[in-house]
Amino acid sequence: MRRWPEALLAAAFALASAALLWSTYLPQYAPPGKVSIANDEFFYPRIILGVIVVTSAWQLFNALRARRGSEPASVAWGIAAAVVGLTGAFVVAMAYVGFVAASCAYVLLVAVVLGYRRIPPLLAVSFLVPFGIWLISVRVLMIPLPAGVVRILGGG
Amino acid sequence: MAETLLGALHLVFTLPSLGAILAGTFVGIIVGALPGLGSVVGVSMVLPFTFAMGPIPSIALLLGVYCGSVYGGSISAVLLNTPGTPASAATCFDGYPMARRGEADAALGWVTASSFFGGIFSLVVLIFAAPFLAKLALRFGPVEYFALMVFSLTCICGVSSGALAKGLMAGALGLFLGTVGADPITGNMRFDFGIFELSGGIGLIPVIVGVFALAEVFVRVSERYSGTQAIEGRVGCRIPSRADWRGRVGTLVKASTIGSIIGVLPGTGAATASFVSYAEAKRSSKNSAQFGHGAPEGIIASEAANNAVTGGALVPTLALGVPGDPVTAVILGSFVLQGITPGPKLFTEQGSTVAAVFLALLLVNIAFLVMGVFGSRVFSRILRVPEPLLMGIVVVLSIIGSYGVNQRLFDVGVTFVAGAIGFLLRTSGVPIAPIVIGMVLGPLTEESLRQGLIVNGGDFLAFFRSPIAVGLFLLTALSILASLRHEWRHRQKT
Repeated sequence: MRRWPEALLAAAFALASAALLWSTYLPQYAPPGKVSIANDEFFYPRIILGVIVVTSAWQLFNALRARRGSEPASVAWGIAAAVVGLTGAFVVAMAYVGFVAASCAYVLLVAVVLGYRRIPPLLAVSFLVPFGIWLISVRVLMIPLPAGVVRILGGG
Repeated sequence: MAETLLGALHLVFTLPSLGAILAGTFVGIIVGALPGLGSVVGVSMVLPFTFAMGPIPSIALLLGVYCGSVYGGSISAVLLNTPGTPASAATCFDGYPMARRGEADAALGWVTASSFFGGIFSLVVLIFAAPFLAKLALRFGPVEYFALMVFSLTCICGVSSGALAKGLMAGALGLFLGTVGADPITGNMRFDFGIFELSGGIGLIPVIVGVFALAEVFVRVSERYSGTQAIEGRVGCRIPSRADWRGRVGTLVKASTIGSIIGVLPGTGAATASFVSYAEAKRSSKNSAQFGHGAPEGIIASEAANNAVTGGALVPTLALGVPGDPVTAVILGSFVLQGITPGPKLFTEQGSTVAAVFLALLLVNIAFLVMGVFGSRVFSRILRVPEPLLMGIVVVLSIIGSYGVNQRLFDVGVTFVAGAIGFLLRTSGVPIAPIVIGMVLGPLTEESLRQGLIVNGGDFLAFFRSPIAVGLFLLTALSILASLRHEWRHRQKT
């Protein structure tokens, strides 16, 4: 049984690295005149991209000739996609609504998606932990976290 | 000699110095345990406080933060699979699986004991071999550095056993990520695609946090999610008994030696040391199949090496006045600010000051041992938090760690992308450690290769004229052969 996800991943790596390798030979990257290998900024990346092409092809070959029973364990793609999506939304929202509000919502929603239903600890952790992290970061470590809409509302 | 020692005791056993040691070590452990915030952030954070302090208390404070942060980075590596610093990335391989099977106390015990031994070993090296090692470091030019980096890269094979093609692919991906941004020789842009934030390169910390912490969360929630229970296990820190050490002392001594030597070489660092040591321990172990599944030897190799770097890195700083990394550069700056000039004359003209630094380093190691033993009980309670709550908190902490380094939301985006790619790679059975190894070693490899070529007029054969480089290339060949043999045997079995 062929391992299609692995084969697709290896093929994507091979194609992307081959395209990047090809792009290093485009005229806009060609230095004027002849330069030594040591001064050619694409000398080393070309070797690395070549290695990726070869190892990806090797991996693609391995995945396509894999024997039955060697496929990896099943993955709960639905839950994974939900948590990855929530994390992406958290990253984007942090810039607009600020760290504390985005974190509170994120911790709460992830726990709910994962099936946690005990309301008191859920609310306590969702609100106190992000606020505690904010307090330590901003007041102790002097790391200014994104304030988002809070700053706009405060006129800052 | 006795006068020097008495002078050192007089300098260190004062309230300000002892207070600085305790405060520095405590702050270091906390900063190190927070993902993303490493030794550089820690020493930079406390540096302003040293301006109002005397020479020895200020050096003691910085040493405390330095050593404490290297140790603290391992706590989150063991408990959350999230290395607090790049130096602790190799600790995740075995520390986290051990914690997952309910032995967090044992894992933290191995971490604490190995870190303490590595720190003390490197202190002894610093005391007795500083002038000799400083001379050895001076013999390392670009050619020798390149050979060392090539040898270090063989640890990619070591952490990819059973999946060599996948490991090499991931390692090459890490090496490629290290080439993004300004070229180290010409300064021209590479692979920045017109994105301004990429001109400075892809940050190591955002990628590490993404592929380890975020990917771990995504993998965990996708693995037959079974509900709301917390991880069962003992809390605290169980220091290994004499029987536990049987057959593992060799690994401990070897790892400490590797860490001390790599620490002496400027520009290498604790992350390189821990990966090299881990690969060497795995290569030479009879139980190599256990590595990656909670083998104590893996923790010993990583932890003894990364803590041994602290003493090693002080060798060129004190003996030559040459800082080996950003942290020792800050410490060197503090020496100068306090009117102490590091260099060969320091050992002869200010013997008491040097002895006081050694003594402070010894006390710092004792301090993190004590704090580790008693503090681990508090730290390991993290595992009692129900997983659905813990997963969200880990992501929030990781995002802060990634953002905190440069305060750029772009880095947070890099962490998210790295986490998503890390998740896809892990579900496809691709080991992700080689990506980090490639990113750590890649820039050093390219720089030394091209500098070596420039110095030798483009002559590749010059790389085979240095005895040190030839020795390292031979070790590389042996290491690759051992990996290929291991891979072949693995294929025969499966």
